[in-house]
This record gives sequence, structure tokens and C-alpha cells, in this order.
Amino acid sequence: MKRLTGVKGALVGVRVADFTASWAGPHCVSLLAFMGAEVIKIESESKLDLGRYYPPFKDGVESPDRAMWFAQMHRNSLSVTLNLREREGVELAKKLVGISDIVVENFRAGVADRLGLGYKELAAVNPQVIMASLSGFGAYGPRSRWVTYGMHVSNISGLMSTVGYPESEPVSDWVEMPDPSGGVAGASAVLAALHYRLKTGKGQHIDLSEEETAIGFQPEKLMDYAMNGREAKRMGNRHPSMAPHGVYACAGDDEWVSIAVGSEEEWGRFCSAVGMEWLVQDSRFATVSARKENEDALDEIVEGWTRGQDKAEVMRVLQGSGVGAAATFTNADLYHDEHLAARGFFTWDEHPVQGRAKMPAQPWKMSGTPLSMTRPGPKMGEHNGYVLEELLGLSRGEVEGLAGGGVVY
Amino acid sequence: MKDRTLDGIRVVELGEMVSAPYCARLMAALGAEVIKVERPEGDGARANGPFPNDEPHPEKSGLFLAMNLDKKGITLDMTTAEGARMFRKMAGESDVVVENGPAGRMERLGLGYESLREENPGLIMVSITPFGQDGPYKDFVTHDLNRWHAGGWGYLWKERGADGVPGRLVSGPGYLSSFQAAYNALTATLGALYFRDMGGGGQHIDVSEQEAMAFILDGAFPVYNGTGRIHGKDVAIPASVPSGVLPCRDGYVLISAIEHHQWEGLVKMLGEPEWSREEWADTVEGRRLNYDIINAFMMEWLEGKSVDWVVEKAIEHRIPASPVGVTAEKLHRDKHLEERGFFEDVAHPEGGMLKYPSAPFRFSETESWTRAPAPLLGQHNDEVYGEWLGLSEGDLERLRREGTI
Repeated sequence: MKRLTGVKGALVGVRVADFTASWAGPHCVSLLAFMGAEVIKIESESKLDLGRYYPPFKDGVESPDRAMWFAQMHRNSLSVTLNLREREGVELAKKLVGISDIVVENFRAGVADRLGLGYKELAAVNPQVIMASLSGFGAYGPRSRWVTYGMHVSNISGLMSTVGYPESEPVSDWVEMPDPSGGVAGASAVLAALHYRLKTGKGQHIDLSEEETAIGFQPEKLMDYAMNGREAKRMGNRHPSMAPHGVYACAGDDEWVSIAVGSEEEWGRFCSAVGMEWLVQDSRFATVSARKENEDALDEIVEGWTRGQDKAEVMRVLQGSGVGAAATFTNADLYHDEHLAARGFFTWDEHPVQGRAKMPAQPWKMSGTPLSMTRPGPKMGEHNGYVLEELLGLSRGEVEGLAGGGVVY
Repeated sequence: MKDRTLDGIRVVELGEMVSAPYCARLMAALGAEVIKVERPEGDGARANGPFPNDEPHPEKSGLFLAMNLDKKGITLDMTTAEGARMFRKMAGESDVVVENGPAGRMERLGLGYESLREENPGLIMVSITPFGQDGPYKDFVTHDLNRWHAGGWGYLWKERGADGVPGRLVSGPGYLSSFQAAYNALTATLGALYFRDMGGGGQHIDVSEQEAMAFILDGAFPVYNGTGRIHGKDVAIPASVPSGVLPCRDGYVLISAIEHHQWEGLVKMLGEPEWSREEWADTVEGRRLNYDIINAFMMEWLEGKSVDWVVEKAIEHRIPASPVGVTAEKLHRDKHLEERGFFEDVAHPEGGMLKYPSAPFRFSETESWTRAPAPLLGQHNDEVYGEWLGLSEGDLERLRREGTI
């Protein structure tokens, strides 16, 4: 079977038909693409992926090929434009599924079936196909048909219920972690199914819920409820059994450092590191329970020391004494960080429309099959020729006809 | 009974707290045989709550019980020569080793990947650390709060201050970076397993929690590339409208209308107020700049209404919406989760019968997850050391006396 050449990685030879949009699904397939899978994104002007019109745009000019977040997330992917509102578009998509190993979609529950792209229909074309359906709440159940975004899944999963300060409004706005968490959970499930298929020859359908992924991230809260019937409370940056445990202002505007002291030994090291050995003797701070009781006074002392100092310097000084501290890294801090540079976390991408840009190179490192970036994020329909002509065997004329008819669109 | 997805795969876990244990717990849920190796004092999670009635007990930590379902548990002091030899034998006959010790610990014990692969070239080893196996921060000590901030998320979650002044930062709950890293480790391991299944060799995977979180920073780096701005700094103009949590009679609601048809639905739900016919209301940008008009109207409209009613109405109009502050009790009693069978009762000899969150995936062909309780400290020593490593009762007795197991 025809494959792209020059690609390396653990998943070389695996082809993914990608029907996803937004964030969770694209994140899922991008992880497969980073490991060398051939990911073919099926997209259309008739229903543009949110990422194609999500800012920032190159030079501020809004257009699908200038969307910078989209380009970053779709590196290594190929793009074919097929209008799934047209029967012929669906037929061509099914043909592509016929020569793929994996299908990933994150349509709202029921939409894939309605389009004629449900698991049963795809399995009829390709009995060995592994299809993963990623959704906010799963493929069945009363909430399955809800429209949603990651920020709402953050709420409904309870993830945000303890975020905020006790005396003020809860914080819950634009907090989308369940999308990339659901995305990577989906990728892991797909690869587990791929292992099973190699052994047995059987494909299958995977129903992945972002909500359930996020609920799984809260064992300390859920088990406390299961054991003691108790609800966790909003605590700002504090911790039930550590003090100091907070985020403290540093020199500059809106610059912070996080400090967490987890044991009496660490407390002793902290006091020496900040040159306030007398703190260890102070009865208000002698034990963790005393420190919890006098936490306001303690936080004032800690911030009195951090304020006026560079956050990176605070991190270095405390780490030098073995105290848990990390600067609050912004995008700019990470971009210029010496540690990430030493690890090769970033790479430069050269995009035909967007030019050069620095982006994360890999979410993890593999010694035997290093992750690689072989191509920039695709322009809309950039690979129509490869997919429709070379893979599916259409003639140039046929493709042109379909483009004129709003099918390849 | 259905097949299990990872049947026949053997995993040795050397994990503490969350990242490596959760990664191995997911493999166990998928049907792999997972042997958890604890130091004789036990995984540090055993000392972390919650505990029933707040009484610490190494067999009753809610965190430990939830992170270690479906595993076999053995104890081993790997700092002794014999302990290290026993570990080497197990790694030699396993598919995967998952560990989250400090960077370089395995090498110092003489059990680094290069050394283990000599006997087992197909071995996949995955190491999860706060900052990775190399680089200037590799030996930094951290708690969860620090990893959250080092990964770039600490800066993004904040209160919306008055008049666009950035409010106080507020951190994510619990162990979020460790969970994200655990899924990364799982995905990388299964990718490596495919490569091995196809005839390739084993390999070592290096997962950094900082990188796991920085990798999913949404538009943070594109924003920096495109504009040089600090992502999340400018909170004066919200990213979506309506914005922020809005008060109802009995709590708060979050509503978003980003896509065009969602906006149309919102306008309809609100009874087509006058401002919705203004020219600025036609574009996302115009609505962002006039968010105060929209938010003020919304607040008035929401007054006296209940959260559940508003969410239901919004969903009817195809507008994404959610209640704020969903409690553990609400999750436990939720009809949707009940229909999906998400919480499962599992009995543990010391912890009793408890409801646990299961896994987020359901497979049509294979078993979706397994359902055995977490192991007691050293519960499977006899089985694993006797049956697998072939040690005699006398050997086991001696190892126990010497404190090796």
C-alpha cells in the first residue's frame, strides 16, 4: 500500500483518517502524528474547523491558512477537503477509511451516524478499523447530546469546584484542560486497541468521555466524599496539610513564584535559605498545624522576602536548599527557558504562509524512535492530490469536477 | 467474558504517589498484569489522605486505594544487592517498567535502561519526573503546586480582577500535572509497544511533567510568535462572550456562545434584546469589545432563575453551558454517570466497600476495565517471589528477616 516516505517514528505505517475539529480530537491525532502515523485530516470550507478561525493569525490577517494555533497543532498532518454534507463527499471519506487503520472523530453524539460515518458503516467498509469517538460526555447517556466546550466539561466534571478563594466568586472561565486530557486519553485507548488488533485481527469502536477523564483526575476529593461524606472546599493556593503553600509576588508587574513546604525538614531548610533561622524557633510556626493556624502571618513573612526579588532567582535560591519552589512561568518565560532549551523542547517550524515560528517539538522523548516534525501544519486541501489521486485513484479531471461541484471543498 | 485489550502484557511499576501509579493503573484497567513494587515502608501515597475519619492508616489511604486498583503488590528494598538482582530478574521477564523516581536513581542502583536492556532488548521503560531526565532543573524538588506553575498553567488560572486588572492567581486542584503526564506516559508506552510488536526493539521514554503541561498550553506559543504578548495577561477583554461565571438564584452558571449559531441561540433565548440588533453584535470581536453590555443584561435576565433551569434552557438552544461548583455528591448521584456505569463499587479488605471512578474509555470488543482492589503492602510477595522468581519458603523467610521484602 502506498505510504508517504521519509517519515520516522514508532507508528510508521499506521494511517489515521481524522474527522476531528477544535481541540480534543486534533490533540489526540497530533500525538499519533508525532510518533510517525500518517494522519489525514478531512476538513471543509462548508464547516470550518474552529481552529481555522481561531486567533492569532499571521500578521493579524484572518484566513484559515494563517491561523497560527491551528498550524502548530496540525504539524505532521495532511489535509484533504471533502464536504461531508454531500453524499459523494461521504463516499470518498469512506473510501479513505477503507485504507486506514484508525478513525478518530469528535462530532457531537449521533452526528457520525447521521452522516453515514457511524462505526457500523465504517466497519462494513473496513472490518479491522479502529474507530475512536471522543466527546464531552460519551456516546450514550442523558448528557451525550449536549453541545459543549472543554471549559464546561471542567465544571460538569467537578474539576473547577474547588478552584478559587473561599470568600469570593468561584473561578471558571476559559479553563479547557479536559480537551487535551481527553485527547491524550483517546490516543492511549486507540493504541491499546491497535495492540489487540495486531494479536487478533479485530478492530473495534472506542467511546471516550472527556468528562470521565477529568473526573478521574480528582481521587483525593472523590474518595474523601466516599469515605467521609465530606466535600472539598475552595482554598485559593493553600493546601490542607502543607504550609507555606502559596503563590507569592516577586519583583516586577504580575510576576510570581510558587512555594510549597511539605515537611518539617523542608521547613528548616526554607528558614535557613531565606536567612530567617529564628522562624524555626517561633512557636507560631513550629509545627505544620501551628503554621496552618497562623498562615496569614506566615504568608506575609514569605511574601515580604519574595517581593522585590526576581522570581527566577527565588526559585534558584530555594531549589539550592532543596525547597519546593518554581517560578510562575508565562509563555515568554517558557519560550526563553534554559532548561527547556537544553532539553530540546522547542523547535523552529517553517510554514509556507506563516514563516518561521518556535513551537514545542515533543510532549515526551523516546530513545529508540524519536518524535519528529516532518511537515508544517497543512494548508486547506494541500494534500488533495496525494489523497484523492494517488491513494484513492481518482483522475485529475475527476477531482476538478468534484471541486467544481462543491464536493472537494 | 470478553478479551482484555492488553492481555499478556506484564508491567513492573516502581511508583510513588500519582504519576507512575496512575499510568500503571490504566494499563491494569486495560488488562495488563501489573506488579507494583513498593519499598518496605510502602508508597508515599499510603501516608497521604483522605483517610476514613481522618485517622491515618497505610491500608486506608483513599489516594492509594484509587491509584492502585487491579494491581499485584510486592515489597522490595532495591538498595540491597539482592533486592536489585531480584528487580533485574523481573524486569528481564517483563514488557514494561514504569517508574517515577528522581532522575538518575535507576542508574545509581545499577538498574538504568541501558543495563536492563542487555538482558531484555524488547523492554520498554518509561520514566516520569517533574523536569525530565536531563537539563539544569532535573534535580529540582517539587510539590504539585510547583509543577503546575513550572508548566505554565499556574499563570493562566486567575480571578477576573475589577476593570481588567489581573486578579489573584489560583491553582489547579490536586495532582493535575501528574495525571496529564501519566496519560502521556501511557500513550508513549503503547506507541513503543506497537513498534516492538512490529519487530522493532524496546526503548526508554522520558516524560517531564513540566513539558506535559507546557505542550498543551493552547494558543500560548502561537500568541507569543504572532504578537509577542503574554498569554493570559490581558483579562480586560474576555476571550468569549458572555464571559465569566454569572450569578443565578442558587449559584453560578457559565455560558458561552462562540460559534455563530450559538450566538443566534443566545439572542433567541434572551428574547432578542435591542442591543442584539446593533452592528457590533454581528461579530465575535464586536461582542468581545462590548461584553459589559451583554454581561449586564445577562445578569439581570438570570436574576431569580435557578442554575439547573438556565443550563437546561441554554442546552435546548444549543448553547454550551454548565453549572459552576459541581460537588462530589452531585457526581455520585448523577443520572448520566449512573447510566454509563462510571462509578464502581469495589471491596477492599481494610478500606471496605467504596465507590471508585473507573476509566474514561469503553471498548466495543474488549473488556473496558477490570475491578480488583488495591493490594495490601506486600500482599503478593509469596505469589510473585515464590511462583514467578522461584524462591523457596526459606529464601522468603530470610529476605523478610533481612528487611529486603
